[in-house]
Amino acid sequence: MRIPIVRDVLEESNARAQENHALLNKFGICTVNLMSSPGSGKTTLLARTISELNKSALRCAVIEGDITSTLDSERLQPLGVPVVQVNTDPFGGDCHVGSHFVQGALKYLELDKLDYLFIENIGNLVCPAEFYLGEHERVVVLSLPEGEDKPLKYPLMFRECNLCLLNKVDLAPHLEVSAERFTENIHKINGALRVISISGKTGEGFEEWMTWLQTRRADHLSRHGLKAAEEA
Amino acid sequence: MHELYVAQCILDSAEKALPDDVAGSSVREIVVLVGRLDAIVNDSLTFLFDVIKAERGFPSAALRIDVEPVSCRCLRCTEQFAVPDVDCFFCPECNSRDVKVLTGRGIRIMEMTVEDGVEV
Repeated sequence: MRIPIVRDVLEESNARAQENHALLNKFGICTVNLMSSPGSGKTTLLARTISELNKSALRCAVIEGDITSTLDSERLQPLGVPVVQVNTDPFGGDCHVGSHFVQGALKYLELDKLDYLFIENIGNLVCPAEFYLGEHERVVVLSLPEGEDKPLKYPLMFRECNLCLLNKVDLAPHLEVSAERFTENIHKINGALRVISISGKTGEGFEEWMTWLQTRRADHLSRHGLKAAEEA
Repeated sequence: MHELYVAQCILDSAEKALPDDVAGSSVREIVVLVGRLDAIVNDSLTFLFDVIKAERGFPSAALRIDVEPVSCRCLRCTEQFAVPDVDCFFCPECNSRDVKVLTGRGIRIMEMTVEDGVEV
């Protein structure tokens, strides 16, 4: 006997993500899911981003996702911001951070003392794009050495994000790639995806990235009728 | 390699969708519709589903995977069009890149088959 059903298999995952989203909204925390392949420079970008935001008295925390190791968390320790390490290895080695991991990690953070939460997803251009975690913004980091073809090979990631940070642009003189060609391929997949050329090493593009982050946060606070954490 | 997690989600969803008095052990087939955009490797999903199905209470269930092609609607001229190779999302009529994905995204259970004689 056939039983017709139409049921989203990620409904449980999405339900937890919605709970995360509601909690983050309650505290007015702008949450950014940073995704990329391994070695794109996410952690270096993140460290510089947090330093810049701290200069404006904006308080950050990080959920650091890796299959194994605490190496990235250790790199962020000198910044003195709360970092919660999530390792998926003991739970089957998932190649992405799941909404249930974020739910668990949020319990370790003082949410009333945060303006931004960054989720540094596991380095992988395929799987993390599939899973909503409750974040407000999805940002893909793509670096010049990875090659211009990546948006065409991993279309879901570039469809699902609302900002692309084209990183390591300081290496352009040493590579046979063209930033224009990157952008052209990104826009074949998602014509609305904004691209910021950036360098985590030299700081190029950071002014535009900081403006984007602060504009997005202001939009979220205004849309949800929220005040910043210190005013709540 | 998110196929293991997806296999777990399929079995969790199947368990919730079954009527209370129908055992998972009576399920013979689960049909899922997988969007082409989702980058699921069908062979890996089937393999991992088979590895974990018994411990999840569905020892006799086979997994059938149907793939949903990607289609879009142009938000400028309303043209609907297919994106067979998932590599170019602009409108073939007006060349706009302001398009909405209509199909080919998401993973859904569509149907389950239980063994003959089981009342549902």
